[in-house]
Amino acid sequence: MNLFISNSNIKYFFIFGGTFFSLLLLHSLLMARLQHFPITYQNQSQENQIKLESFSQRQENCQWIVMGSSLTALLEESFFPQDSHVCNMAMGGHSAFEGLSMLNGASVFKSHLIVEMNVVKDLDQQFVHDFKNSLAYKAGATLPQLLNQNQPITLLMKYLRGKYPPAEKNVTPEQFQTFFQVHQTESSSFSSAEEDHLRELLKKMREQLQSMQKQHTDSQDLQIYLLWMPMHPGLENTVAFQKRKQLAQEVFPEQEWNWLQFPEGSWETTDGMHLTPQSAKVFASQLLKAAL
Amino acid sequence: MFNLILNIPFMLFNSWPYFFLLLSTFFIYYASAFRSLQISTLIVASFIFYAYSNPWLLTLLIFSIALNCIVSYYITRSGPTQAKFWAVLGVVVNLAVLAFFKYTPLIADSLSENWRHSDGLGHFLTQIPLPIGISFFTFQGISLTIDVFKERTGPVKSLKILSFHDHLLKTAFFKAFFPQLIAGPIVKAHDFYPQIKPKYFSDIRWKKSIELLIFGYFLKVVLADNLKEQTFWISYPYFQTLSSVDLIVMLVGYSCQIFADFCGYSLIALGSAELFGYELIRNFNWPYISRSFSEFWTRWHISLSSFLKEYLYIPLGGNRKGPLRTYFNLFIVMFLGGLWHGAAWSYAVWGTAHGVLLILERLVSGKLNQIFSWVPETLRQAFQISFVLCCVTFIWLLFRLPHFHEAKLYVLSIFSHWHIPMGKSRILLNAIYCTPVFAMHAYVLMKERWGFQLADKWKWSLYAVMFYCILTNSGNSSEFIYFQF
Repeated sequence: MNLFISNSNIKYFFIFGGTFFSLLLLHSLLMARLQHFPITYQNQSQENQIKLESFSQRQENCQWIVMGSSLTALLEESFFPQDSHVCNMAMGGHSAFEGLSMLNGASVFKSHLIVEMNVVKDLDQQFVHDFKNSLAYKAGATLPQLLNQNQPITLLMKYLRGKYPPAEKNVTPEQFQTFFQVHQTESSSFSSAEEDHLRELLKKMREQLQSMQKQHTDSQDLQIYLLWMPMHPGLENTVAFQKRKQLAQEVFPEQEWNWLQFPEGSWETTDGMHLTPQSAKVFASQLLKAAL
Repeated sequence: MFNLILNIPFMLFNSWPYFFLLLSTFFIYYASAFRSLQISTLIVASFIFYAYSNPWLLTLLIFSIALNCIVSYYITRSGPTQAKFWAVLGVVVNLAVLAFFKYTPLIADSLSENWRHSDGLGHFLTQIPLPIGISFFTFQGISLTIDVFKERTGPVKSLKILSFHDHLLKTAFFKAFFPQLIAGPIVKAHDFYPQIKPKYFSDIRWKKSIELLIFGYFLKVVLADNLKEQTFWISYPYFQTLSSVDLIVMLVGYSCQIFADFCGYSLIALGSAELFGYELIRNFNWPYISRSFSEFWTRWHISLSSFLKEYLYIPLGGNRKGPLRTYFNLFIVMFLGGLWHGAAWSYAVWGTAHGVLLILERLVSGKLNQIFSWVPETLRQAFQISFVLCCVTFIWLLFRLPHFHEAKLYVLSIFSHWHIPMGKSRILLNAIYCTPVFAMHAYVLMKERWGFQLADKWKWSLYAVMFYCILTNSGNSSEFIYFQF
């Protein structure tokens, strides 16, 4: 049997093992050194993963949980009042279903749930499945080096962004127009098949939310708030978004569900849909007041 | 479309089901009780691998196995005329099946809009799904048919067909062997069949297998999967708001991504096959250090270019029938090679572009070498490598943006977006994940040119670094780019 039973192979085995454990040590030191730097991410996909990981670790401390798409993902937790304990589970490229799928298994919490209704998509089962089967999820609690937020390159970005904070980028009128026109074109129609599909999704969401409310009535009331994020009137008044809002209000009537009246103000967007960082900060600071 | 029926993705090499399949197959394969059933064990594992997301796909694979087995068997049992008939039939039916699934939607899509959107045949033809791996196992079937036909009259007999049952098992194994089933390398029958014999645990080349697997997974899950997130912004319309520097860097990033993705997959396939005692053809030989386009095609997707050379270019006459015929042959081979990659005209254009470059190279390289003979060799080679890399990188755009107007817009944006501020994070991350690709190429260049060789102890340190990165710095799992072909 030739399974590495030779002096040279044993030597290489020790070189391999020695290097591996040295890296583990170095990685741990780096994590400790950078723990006070704000969490960062390399890309949107990793941002979503980090949100899920982070929530798994601190779900019991979340008093407010925000769920939705990239529209609400822009409401960074640091924008909310410090003592409000907000956990933002909104994820770019997804909708509230992914956040809800993580909550379904969660223990009872004294929480307020804010659910964005602008973008409602099918649950990305593959995304949730991949996350729950990832090494990071399964072993991250024991070995934090495996967590996405602690990836070596992510730590490097964490250091660089902490040391050299990036300047806030302003969207040029050109950039705004480019994406605004795309969104406008995409939202100019809404077929009956899309309408039926969205209605089904909204009903599914309603069932999940009602089921969660039932689970919590014995201990604590779970407060659920529905949110329609402000958008540019040019998009708000398109066929698709008008229809989406109408369907959302039909499936979640105001008499039975808490619809948040978003704070008054002129909200600037980068593309008609996504708030600018400045607007997101102001919006977040006022959102909880609107709920309470 | 098929995989949506069960909503289960295909079994990726970097997934728990694959690890479970590999390990369980490995233990059964080498158990002494199952030694006589080694081939059957691998066939069953391969069927499980292929049918994981959609069992219906197996019907096509089994049909392909049966077709090629019957055709190749009767080639050996028939007289010369009938053998030729069987060989032609085999090749034609293989190509017809491939063409039906792969190119019918493309052709149907090119016809009138009314016909396409009407219920019935028009709509059906535009919706035909592309079974995963069909391009690869079909080509392997063609290889088997032609090799058996050639060996009828040739001196070498590497494909001994003893009985129909024995041949059926070997054919099923050859075509379905799971490491190379879905995305190659395209294995030739005369290379693979002589390896089919009992394998023993003591003969496993552990060092080679582990090296291949670590390297493959590093390229795929660390480099390719992370680069995929950075090159996402090449998509329309996102690139329209990015700076020229971002656009160029992302294109280079995509070039590294496609190499890391495909080469990584191939290395994992080779490493997995080694565990079972089989040596597959190496598919990449560091293509981005090529000094010419013809050299590029001896280093990139070697199994495909070797297949096209042996079964298409040489039968067409190769370079033996004068320069004009040679250029024609090159053009046809590259055009078809491009079209093999995908059922979209952009792939045909991609292949044609390479064909044109190969022809131009033949026309002018001799003269250019004369004109620039005064330039030091090292500088000349550096220029050649850079030139080939730039051209190849540029043409990859057609893979990433298959719609011509988007690709054209991207190129125009490169020239007109200099005033837009750079995205420093995006550029930095692209650079970080491209660096290992270029570093590896540079190492191989030094090794080939100056005989520079890294000591084994450093190699094993590097493998440890790669292994650590696989565990701690993997990107979001995604399908291999070449799955779509």
